[in-house]
Amino acid sequence: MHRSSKPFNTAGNRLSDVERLFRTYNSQLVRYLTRRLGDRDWAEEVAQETFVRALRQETITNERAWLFAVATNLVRDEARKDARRRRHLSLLAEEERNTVVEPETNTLEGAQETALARKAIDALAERDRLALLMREEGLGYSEIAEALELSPGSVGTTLSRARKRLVESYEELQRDRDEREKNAAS
Amino acid sequence: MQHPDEGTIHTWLDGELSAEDAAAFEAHTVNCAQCAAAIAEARGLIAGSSRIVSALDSVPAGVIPMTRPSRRAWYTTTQARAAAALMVVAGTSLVVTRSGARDSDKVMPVNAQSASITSPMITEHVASPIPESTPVRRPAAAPALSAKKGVASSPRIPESVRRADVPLSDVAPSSAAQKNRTMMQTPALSGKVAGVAVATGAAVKTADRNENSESGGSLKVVRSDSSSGRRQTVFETRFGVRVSLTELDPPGFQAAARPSASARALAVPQRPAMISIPPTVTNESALSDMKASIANSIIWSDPATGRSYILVGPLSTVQLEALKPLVVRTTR
Repeated sequence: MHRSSKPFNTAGNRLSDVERLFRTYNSQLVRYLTRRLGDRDWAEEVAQETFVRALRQETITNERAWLFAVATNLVRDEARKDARRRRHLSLLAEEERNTVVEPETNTLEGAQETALARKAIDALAERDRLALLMREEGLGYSEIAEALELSPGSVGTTLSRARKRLVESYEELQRDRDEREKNAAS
Repeated sequence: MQHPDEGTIHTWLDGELSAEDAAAFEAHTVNCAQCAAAIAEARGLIAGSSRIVSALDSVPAGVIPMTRPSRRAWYTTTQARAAAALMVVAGTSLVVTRSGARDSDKVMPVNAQSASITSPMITEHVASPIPESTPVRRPAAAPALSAKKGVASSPRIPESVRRADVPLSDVAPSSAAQKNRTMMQTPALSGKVAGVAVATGAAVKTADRNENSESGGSLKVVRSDSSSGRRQTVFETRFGVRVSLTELDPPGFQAAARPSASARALAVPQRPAMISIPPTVTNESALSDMKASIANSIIWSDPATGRSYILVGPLSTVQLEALKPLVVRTTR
């Protein structure tokens, strides 16, 4: 008898468990990954791969933390393995950002806000950024701690630092931009 | 109590302090102006960073139509795509698992029949040969389809489907029985799957027309990525519509599911990979999601190679069907 015939997690069968995981967490996971990667196609790929891994996993105790940890590691491994592809994808994403007009950012200001937000997020340390993005998806401190292998007591400090730096660097980028615009106008 | 540090303030604002710590925190801060200011600042940082993070969300993707990507569409598309991938993975591993569970030579034929009964749509895809060079005209599809429907209503019910009548309590509580339970759920929804996804005769005619207009054009490969056992290619049609093709190697999934040697021998016959509809899409909401979604997907497999294909795009399933020959040609 091979491995996959064992029940997954609880007494229920593995497929329906993964189906439930998918229904419950897919949109959160894709949004988290999209925010992390800046590329929705890539985010969806990673999310799919995460659920495929769940299908092969024997037991998962803390579902959401597990999914976010696996997705995060997939991104990290892939980035390490193939930095070139990543650069290529970000270039493509950048290209599309410039060519595709979406309702949410169909104003110049909207597009600028997004670009500033991306820069500010990218300026954070990796762990701070991931903790913040996970918190924004509603993960509790214990889940974040598990997914990022932090001590539960340090999550508050990590988040407070991440939020402070994010807002500060965003405001700084805004000031720089306003400065440039003022100079350009005069 | 000392003034709480920023981490503690954020923890309290996030509602993550233990009841005891929260009580101590509140007892101190209620009368401390310095802490009140720090709490106000932290609140501002939380709100500010949430707003900045939300601003990241307007990120485009290749396969989303540029005309009306709404928030709702964004999710349903994601779900439809992932559901399609899960469907193939789950379906494939299900067959492999069952093959392993029952070490009998009859396992594969039974599965093959149940697949043709439960999912006429997919059977049709599997049955129709992938065109070699020129696009195959569609008219043949309608009779083929109705022929398959004939099969579906024929009284020759395979064992795996008949077993659905067996009460759960009568099934031995082995893991094999659990897998059979999984299979039992399949017939119930197969009608719906057919209803949603199978093109009617009229629709096939439309596909024919669409194909005429599409097959004359060419597809541009926007990007192509390969990873273990799969390749994803994004195409752009001459009308600027982007579709995504995912190719999956069955051996990869079989290896993943680690079938026994005998199961492996059964699972790699001349037949194409069997794609049964797993419970993933048996659910009403999943179907309506996929139906209502602005992106649809079609799935087929190549009998020659056993590879599975998922084509996703902001088109109807009929249009995707029409695009299939062109995609297949371009992929080669």
